[in-house]
Amino acid sequence: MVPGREEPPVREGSGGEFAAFAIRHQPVLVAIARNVCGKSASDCDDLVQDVLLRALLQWERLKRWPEPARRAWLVRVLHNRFLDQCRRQGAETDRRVDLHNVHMLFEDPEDAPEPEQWECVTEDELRQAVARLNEKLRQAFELHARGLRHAEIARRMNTPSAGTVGTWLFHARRRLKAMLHDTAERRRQERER
Amino acid sequence: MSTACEDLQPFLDGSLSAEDQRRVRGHLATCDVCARRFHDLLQLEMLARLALEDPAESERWVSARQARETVPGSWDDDVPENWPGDVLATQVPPPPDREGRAWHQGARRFRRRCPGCANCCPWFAKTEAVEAVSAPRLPCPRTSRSGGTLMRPRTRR
Repeated sequence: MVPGREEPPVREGSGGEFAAFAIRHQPVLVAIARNVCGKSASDCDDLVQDVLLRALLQWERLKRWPEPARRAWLVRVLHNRFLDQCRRQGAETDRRVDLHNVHMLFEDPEDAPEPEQWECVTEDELRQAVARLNEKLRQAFELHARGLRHAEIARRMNTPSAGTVGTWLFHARRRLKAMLHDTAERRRQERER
Repeated sequence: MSTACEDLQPFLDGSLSAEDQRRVRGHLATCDVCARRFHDLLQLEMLARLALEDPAESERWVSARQARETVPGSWDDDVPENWPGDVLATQVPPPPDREGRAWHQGARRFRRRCPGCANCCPWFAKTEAVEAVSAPRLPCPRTSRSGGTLMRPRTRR
C-alpha cells in the first residue's frame, strides 16, 4: 500500500468479502498481466477486469471454497481469458464479451475436470518450500516474486548476466513444483481418508 | 517443438522483446501442450507473488521501470534507493564509456540540471531564461560536432 493513502473501507456482508478478495488479488493479477500482455495497457486492463468480473458473478459459489481453491480458480480464468485474447489477436475475430453476448460470462464454467495440485497448496506451504531452496535459488526467486526483472535481480545479486538468473529461476521453479507436488498429494490422500 | 516452447518462462517474467512476445502469444493460441505448461507456470507465479510479494515495493519497482523505459538511452538501469524522491542521494557519475547522450537523458530523468550544450539538452532552455553565448570548440558528445551554441542562464543587467 502506498504510504499516506488509506485503504478503502471494506463493507460487511458478501459484497465486503468480495471487495477484500479483489483488493488482495488485483495487484498480483495486474503485475502478471503486465508481463504477458506486453506494452498494451488496454489488453492488460481488459484481462484483469474480465477475470474479476467473472469472479464477482460466481461469488456466491466461490465464497464457500477454501482460499487455495479460489486462487486456483482465479488463475484458471486468467489463463483461459488470456488464451482467448491470444486467439482473438491471431484470428482477428472479435469474441470480446459486450452487451450483445453478455450471456457468455455465465455460460463457460471455469472448473477443472479434476482437482488440481494447486488447489491443495497453501501460501504457508510455498513459503516453507522456498525456505528449503539453496541460498542462490531462494534469493533469486524471492526477488523475482517481489516484481524484479532478471537484469535487476542480476544487479542486486552481483551476477554478471541476466541469463544466469533465468537459469536459477528455472531450477527454483522446478524444485518448488516437485516439493509442492508431494505436499499436495499428501493432502489429497488425507482428504480421501 | 517450436522455439516458442522454450521461451514460456522468460515470457511470463516479461523479459522477452515485443517481437518475441508476439511470437509466443501466437504459439500459445495454437499449442495445447504449451498452454498446459503455461497454466502450471501461472499457478506457481500467482501463489509465489501472493505469498512473497510486497505490493508497495513491487509498485515502486514498476513505476521506476516505466520511467526508465519512457526515456530512451538511460544509462543507469538501477532503481535509486529513494525513488520516487526528487534527487539522488549520491550523485553517481556515469562510467566513461557511457558518457554522452545517455548521460543527459539520465540527468533529465532524475531532474538534475543538465550541464550539456543546446544540441543535447533542449529542456535546459525551457525551464529558465537563457542567452546564447559563443562557446569554445569542445566536442559535443551527442552530435559529434565541435563547437556550437551554449545556453547559459541569462545574467541580470
